[in-house]
Amino acid sequence: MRDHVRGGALTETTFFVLLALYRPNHGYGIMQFIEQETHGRLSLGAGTLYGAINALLKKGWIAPYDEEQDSRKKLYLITGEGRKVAEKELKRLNSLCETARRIIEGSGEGE
Amino acid sequence: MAAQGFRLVRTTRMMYEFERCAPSEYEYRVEFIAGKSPGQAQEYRRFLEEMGYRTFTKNINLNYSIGKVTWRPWAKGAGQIATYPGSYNRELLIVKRRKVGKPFELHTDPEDIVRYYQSLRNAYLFNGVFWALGLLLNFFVNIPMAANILLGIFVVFYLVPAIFYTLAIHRVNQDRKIYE
Repeated sequence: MRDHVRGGALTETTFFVLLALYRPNHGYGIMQFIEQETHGRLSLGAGTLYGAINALLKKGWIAPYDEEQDSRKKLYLITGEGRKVAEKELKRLNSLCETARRIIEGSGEGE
Repeated sequence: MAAQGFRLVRTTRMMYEFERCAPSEYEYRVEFIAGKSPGQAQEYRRFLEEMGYRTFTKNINLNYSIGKVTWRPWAKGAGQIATYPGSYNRELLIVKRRKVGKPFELHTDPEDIVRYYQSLRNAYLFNGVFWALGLLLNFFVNIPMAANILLGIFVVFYLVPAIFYTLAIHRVNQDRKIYE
């Protein structure tokens, strides 16, 4: 997974995985969350999701959630650092949307 | 086999075992996992099984040595040393899932696709270069032409897929400049 330190932009996959983990969730739950929230537009392959989860674990943006030790499935939860990153991304996207709206939606005004 | 109504239930070194099922009830994907260490491969399989898939491993060579140790310079980290028992004879991962009408791809993110293609390309490239060096050395010693032809076949066998995956990586990288 790219670091995105320079531009600060997260990939859509990274951002969605972080969002899916505001509540404890497992791999299949993350996949379902993304499909539901994008109405099927984005469907992650299991290999890609596995890589994304591992990369985020390494970065410390998500962590294993151990409360349900009995659960056969591994659960994950976003960390404080992960929340900061997600919030920063939200701001960046808002700013991008604002610019896009001004240019695209405002472009018809003069015609 | 899947279209004819057979589902995979077991693999051994020289055999695939199937059972009858409805035609096209299951679908499969095959992934090259030779670059993973036994621990990484096991963790990946556990994850896929958790997602509701069934996984099988399959050997890429036919080798019955016990205590085999081999070096895979094209792999990363702990995946470089393959042993039997261990990751040797488990180079391929067959992933089975019940057909649900949705696309079945293991790698969907362009960056992840590139990483996967690179692992395939590097393995082919290393072997291709290895045999090409062998062929080159043969010019300095007296080796029968038949042996050189055989080596030449090996070189082509490995380098053609290496070129194919290099081009595929280039294509995905070009798309990544515009699309995520």
